[in-house]
Amino acid sequence: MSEPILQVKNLCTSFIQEGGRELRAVDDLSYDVHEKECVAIIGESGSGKSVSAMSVLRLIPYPPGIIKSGEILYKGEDLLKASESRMEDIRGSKISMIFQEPSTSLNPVMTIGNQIMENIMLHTDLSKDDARKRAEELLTMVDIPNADVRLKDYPFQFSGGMQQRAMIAMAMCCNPDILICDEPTTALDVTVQAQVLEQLNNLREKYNTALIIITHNLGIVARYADTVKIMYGGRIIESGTADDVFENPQHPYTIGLIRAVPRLDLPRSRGLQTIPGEPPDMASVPANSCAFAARCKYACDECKTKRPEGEMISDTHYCACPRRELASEERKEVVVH
Amino acid sequence: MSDIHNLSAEQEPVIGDKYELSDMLVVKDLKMHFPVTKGLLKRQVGSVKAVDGVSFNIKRRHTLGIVGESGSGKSTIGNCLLMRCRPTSGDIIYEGHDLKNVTKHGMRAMSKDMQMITQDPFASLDPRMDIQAIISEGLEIHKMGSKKEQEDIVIRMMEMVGLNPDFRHRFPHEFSGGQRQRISIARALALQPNFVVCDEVVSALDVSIQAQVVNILMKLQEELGLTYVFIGHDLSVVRYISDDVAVLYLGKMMELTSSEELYENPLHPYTKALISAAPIPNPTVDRARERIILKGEIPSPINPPKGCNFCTRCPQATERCFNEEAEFKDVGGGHFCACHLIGGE
Repeated sequence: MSEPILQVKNLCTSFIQEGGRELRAVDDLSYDVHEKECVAIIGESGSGKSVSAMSVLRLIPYPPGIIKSGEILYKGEDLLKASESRMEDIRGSKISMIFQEPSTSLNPVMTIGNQIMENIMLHTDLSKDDARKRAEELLTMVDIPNADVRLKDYPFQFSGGMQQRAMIAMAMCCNPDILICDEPTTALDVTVQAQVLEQLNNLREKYNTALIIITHNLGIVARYADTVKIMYGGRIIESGTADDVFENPQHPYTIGLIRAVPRLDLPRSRGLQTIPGEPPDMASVPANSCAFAARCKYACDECKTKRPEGEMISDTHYCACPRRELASEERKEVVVH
Repeated sequence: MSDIHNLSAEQEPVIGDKYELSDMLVVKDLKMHFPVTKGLLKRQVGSVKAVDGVSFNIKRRHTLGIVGESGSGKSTIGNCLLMRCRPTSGDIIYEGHDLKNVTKHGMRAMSKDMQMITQDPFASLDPRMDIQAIISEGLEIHKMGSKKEQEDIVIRMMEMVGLNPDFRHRFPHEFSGGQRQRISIARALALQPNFVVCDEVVSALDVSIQAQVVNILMKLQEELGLTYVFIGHDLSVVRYISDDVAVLYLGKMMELTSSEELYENPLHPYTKALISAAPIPNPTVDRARERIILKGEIPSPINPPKGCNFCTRCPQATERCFNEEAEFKDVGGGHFCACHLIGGE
């Protein structure tokens, strides 16, 4: 495989709470993104998945947030050392981002057209007229009919799905190398969710844009993702190709998570597996322990006192659980076709 | 229960040859239109046809799932069933009582028997009340038991939904989303209802917590003999918990059948699209499936299409679909569907 265009190495992002308590939202995170690759980062609320993406674009509010250590290499350049003006060049142009709630990310008192044109004119030398033409092209590209008229609309005149597509159009205006999508379909209806995902995938094929999709929904990425990272408590606990992770999950959390999703294609009598307990409060998880230990039925004393070593199970498949063999029975039940 | 039977003195029960006794709830041609007004004089210029002619029956101890996109009218149906809004027309017959004729006073007595659990566990719990007060509020309103008895009920309810009763003097903000939803369930069940409307109860929860709450609801149904209407937008969750599933689109029912049949033999093009859009967390299965991507979005219920409600997005629509409404009819074995292409002449 070619050189990765984005390398995240040992990233640690913390939030300092009142009283000086440190909350490690992202704890020693590393991953690579290649050209045209679709990387899915899956985790429940509080797992640090959004913070890890915001860290890549240095969007963490300081204080209280602080990127404590690590490297973020975009084509070899360390973004954590880049100047603020260099970051402004990169954001929205080389690396773009779309957020979960399209209605809160769009400016309600500015027309859709002006918002897209603003981004185009910031990053290119196009004149206002050319920028308007480009904005129209972009809206057409994301399947919004009558783009020339709709440019003059305000966000409230767009439905949720159309707002999200306008966000995609805005993010794609400079043909970015990487598009980070933070829960892109969570607020949308299922049929619209399918449209938006298909759209993102088409754009990836057409413009060679790498996608980083952050979601809590395992299902939506199974079809599109090349690589899948499962996050828990600020760390990647398992990663691999979509086939590795979904068909041969190793970590007890991954297994539990897959079994907790009701599947339409399997009989109802199969039962829903649950993971007992609640997602952890990051401030209370000791650094030298497995973050999942409190909810894991295979946990031993060592899990609570020693940080689990990750290991490569195959060339692509990584898992951070030394006791994963114990879950072999449960693993068999996941893989049902 | 006893209050419910006292009501029959006020009104004649309508149970006769018409309705099967096993049906706890019968809904006939329910319509709920909200007026759209304009100008100083609030002249009515149109109406939002939120629910437009829906009929179904629910058997005792069964669960009816209602699935639909936002704007399909699924929550409005839930609100009508509990008389939170008075339907424009149609009948809702609960345990033989036509709810249309029940007075406000009578409805309060009935509310003990019919409860609702809502979507947002953050908005639905009063932040200034502790858990004990939240769960026992209904008991107080209905003057059930002494303070001591009420506290015992609160403790029992909390244990039932898997919460530590020692936390009963804490406030909602001290609980996570999943725990708050359990508090909502405990509050609804404290009055020992027989019928519960669950409106998007797991939509706001994480996957692992969603499974916990779904399992609690199913366990409680088994133990307490509850009847549920389970409203949701996620077909996989709705199908999992329901015996029968109704697919709603723009205020009309598109398909109604048992949840097994719905997946194995979906008839309506909209149901097929919903099934194909529901994600399956397995790449081999998901990539092999046919994917139907619908164009556009759900139209406005103020101005629904002239023919079949789904005609504007239907991949198989014919000319007839644009002009003529499709009748909601039994196409065999209790499988109802409203589509010109299915079971037609």
